[in-house]
Amino acid sequence: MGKSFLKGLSTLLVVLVFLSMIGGCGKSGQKTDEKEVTTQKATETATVAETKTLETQKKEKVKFTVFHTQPALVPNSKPWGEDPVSRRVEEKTGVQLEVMRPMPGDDIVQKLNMLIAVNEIPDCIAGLRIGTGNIYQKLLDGKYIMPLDDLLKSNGTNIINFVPQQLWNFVKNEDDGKTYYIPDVFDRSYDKNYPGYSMMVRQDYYEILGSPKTETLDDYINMLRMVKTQNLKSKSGKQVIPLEVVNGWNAYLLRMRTLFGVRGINGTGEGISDSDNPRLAVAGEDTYAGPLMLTFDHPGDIEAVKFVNKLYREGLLNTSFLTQKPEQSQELIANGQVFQADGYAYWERAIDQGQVAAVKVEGDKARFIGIAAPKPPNVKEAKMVSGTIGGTSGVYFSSKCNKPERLMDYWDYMASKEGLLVSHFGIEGEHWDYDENGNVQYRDYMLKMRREQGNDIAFETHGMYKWPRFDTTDYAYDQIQPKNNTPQLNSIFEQGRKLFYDGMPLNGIVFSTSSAEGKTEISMTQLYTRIMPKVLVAKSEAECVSLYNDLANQIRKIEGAQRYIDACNEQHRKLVKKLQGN
Amino acid sequence: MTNGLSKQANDIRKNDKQNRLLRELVNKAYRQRYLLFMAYLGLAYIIIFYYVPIYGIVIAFKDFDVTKGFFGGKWIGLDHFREFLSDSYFFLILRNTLAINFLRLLVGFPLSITLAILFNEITHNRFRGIVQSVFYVPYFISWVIMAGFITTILNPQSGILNEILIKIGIVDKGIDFLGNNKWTWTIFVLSDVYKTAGFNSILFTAAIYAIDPTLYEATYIDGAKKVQQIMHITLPSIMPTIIVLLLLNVGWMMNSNFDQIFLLQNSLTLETTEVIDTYVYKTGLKFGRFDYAAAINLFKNLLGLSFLVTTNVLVKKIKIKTVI
Repeated sequence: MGKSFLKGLSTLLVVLVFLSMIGGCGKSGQKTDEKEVTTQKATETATVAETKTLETQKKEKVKFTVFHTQPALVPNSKPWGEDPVSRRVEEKTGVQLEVMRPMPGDDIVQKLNMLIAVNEIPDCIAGLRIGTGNIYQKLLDGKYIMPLDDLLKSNGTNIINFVPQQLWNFVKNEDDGKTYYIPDVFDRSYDKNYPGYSMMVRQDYYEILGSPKTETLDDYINMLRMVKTQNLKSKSGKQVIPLEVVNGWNAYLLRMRTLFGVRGINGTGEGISDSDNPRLAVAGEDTYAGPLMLTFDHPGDIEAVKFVNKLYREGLLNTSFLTQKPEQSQELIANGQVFQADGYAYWERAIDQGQVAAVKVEGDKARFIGIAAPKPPNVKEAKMVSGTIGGTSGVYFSSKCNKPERLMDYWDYMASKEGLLVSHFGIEGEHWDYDENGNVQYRDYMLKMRREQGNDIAFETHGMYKWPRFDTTDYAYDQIQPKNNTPQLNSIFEQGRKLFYDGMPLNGIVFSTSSAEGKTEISMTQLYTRIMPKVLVAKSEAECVSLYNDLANQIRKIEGAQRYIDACNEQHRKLVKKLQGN
Repeated sequence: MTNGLSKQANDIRKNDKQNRLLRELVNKAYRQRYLLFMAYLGLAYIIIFYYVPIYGIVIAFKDFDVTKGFFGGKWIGLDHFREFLSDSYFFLILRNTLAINFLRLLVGFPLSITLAILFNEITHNRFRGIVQSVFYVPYFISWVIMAGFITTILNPQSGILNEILIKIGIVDKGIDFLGNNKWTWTIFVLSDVYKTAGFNSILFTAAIYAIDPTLYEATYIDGAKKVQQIMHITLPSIMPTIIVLLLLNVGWMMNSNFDQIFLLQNSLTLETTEVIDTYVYKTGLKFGRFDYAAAINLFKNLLGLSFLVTTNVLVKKIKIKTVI
């Protein structure tokens, strides 16, 4: 080997090592650039100094890292400062955000466990549910998060007013009486178009079928059968699948359980992975206060499982629903090959009646609309979500956060009326105006962009819905749309709030993974995850029931199962008391 | 006196010799400084990324608490290992790990040798280059993409394989290959072999190129046919390479191809697809039991080491030159 070649090679290696070192220090390099950009922006914003308060002007720019557990709510691929919304928020608060996206994939528990293991907790964690993978407990035990009471008093007056008092009582930590998170205020109305209480179907296909009513299970199943008997085909000539599950089999099954009157822990069906275990259900349909029992002991559970199995056996539910990847089912939906899609990505949002994930352009009616969910015979009310998830998720501040009062400024602005409007709709006079009824009306260019390029692109470009915020909920809608605050709507919200509060003690039951209860829960989950899929695809109803009973018996026999149920009941009672302010 | 002088002379000679050796070593090191520099980089990489993190093993023997760090938790000895051995999934995941890896070795290893021999028999250089490239390419496709291909091809409703089977009348309804435990090991082994056999044949090809061509000429003159040349020249000549690679493969026997298995497994086939690596991943990162996951992984590595040592002993017994 020539000496010059070796020399060249070693020089190349040195250069590579040097470059990788520079790469490793990228963060600090980036910071320098960001500082320059910030300076430039600061110069630009100086021209609109009159719109700022004196207090804000005095504040220096500060940057925080934030991790949002629901990536669908923060899907912005652009850095902070490249859209009008983030620029406006920065102008008002002096805060910049860097959204962390650790590791690929959507498994929040995995990501957060990893962040905890390597001690890389971001300044702020948003959207985390206290029941998710016991992460809240771990953060609390490890003192990774800070109490927020004083900060809320000094910098969070808008937040205090935004969140109902009852919720503040609930979120106080039992051991020290302190508040460690700002609860998200998710609230849902009884609206047939809200997918929590309805089935989402393609409008054009539904009209071809004659817009059939789906009041009973038979109505519903007949409608799905019609998709096959009428040989419904997509524009590309492919057979339309009657029902596609988007969020995995377990999220779908949990929603179906709720439809059959099984109200239980993790019964919301939102953001649930296949490894989650429905664990326990309340004894009756409406008795949220308990007692809790194994889901398998609830009479509605087997009915829900049998119904899903029936849909599968008849080929109404996509037969690949257990084996295909989420991207594949989304592709089917996007290609117009699906009649009913069960999953949040295809739910409409009440706030703007726009579709979150658009079907590839196939005409105005190639969209999903909500139709009434069928009512099983022994159930009082047809709904697929047992309660809302608000209150048990929220915003956490890391103990390592250097300037928590400034971070609180950000969230306080987001809870102000202006912040809610900016984060959801954009800037008044630039993106929207109030109409004669006092409702937000997007300007023509925004409407055109949404129509032609889709909501995602329109919002990504301008920054609405794209940064950590208090979510687009009916509650927020109520707060920021004064003219909509009618007695009728308020009555709907009252019902929503009842569910909201009732569901909270169920979702709030958490055990440490190293505790005896935690280990029992893991054993239950493992068994459930391994066997339940087989129950769902059993070849006959008899086989389905037999496998189901086997699984139930095995779960009951798991070491510590009864102790686990007792512990859940005890926690549940405590949480109910806390919610009631006792 | 004479003895003393001669001892002194011996010492001087010895010192001279030592000095000379040292000088030669320094000179040699200077001459080969570029090679040594590259070696140090590799060594540093191994130390930093393989040896330094070994201290983390300690959590396998502790009731690990993230808040207290690696050395802060309570010492619980072999409790995690006992728990794993009595875990109801222990035999299932051990069986799956061993079966999938053994089948992969059984099919993939001889196929790589066969491919190398076949490549060697192609006399047209350009054609050989093309054929080799065709076999190497799949290796460079990531498992994420490969898994996408496989799930699309094997889809029971729209997959091309099922469409062909239905069209030629072998089946009247698509087979759910990926949702049936009967097929999973076959799919895992075949897809892995397809992806890696070509690339794995490189070392064997190199070993075959190193065989003295006069041996082939001599046997040709003696009237040996191709198969006889392969059996009596090629295979014995590359036997040391085969043994080394076999040992390495057996040493890796407990390491499943995580990417492939994780991407192709689903809820219906966990019974045949859950291996130690995926179980460790789920236990550690999904359920957050880092200590238990570390214990399982340590157990797996010890088992792998025992396989390696056993194979080496066996190879020694059959009197083939060993590497350890």
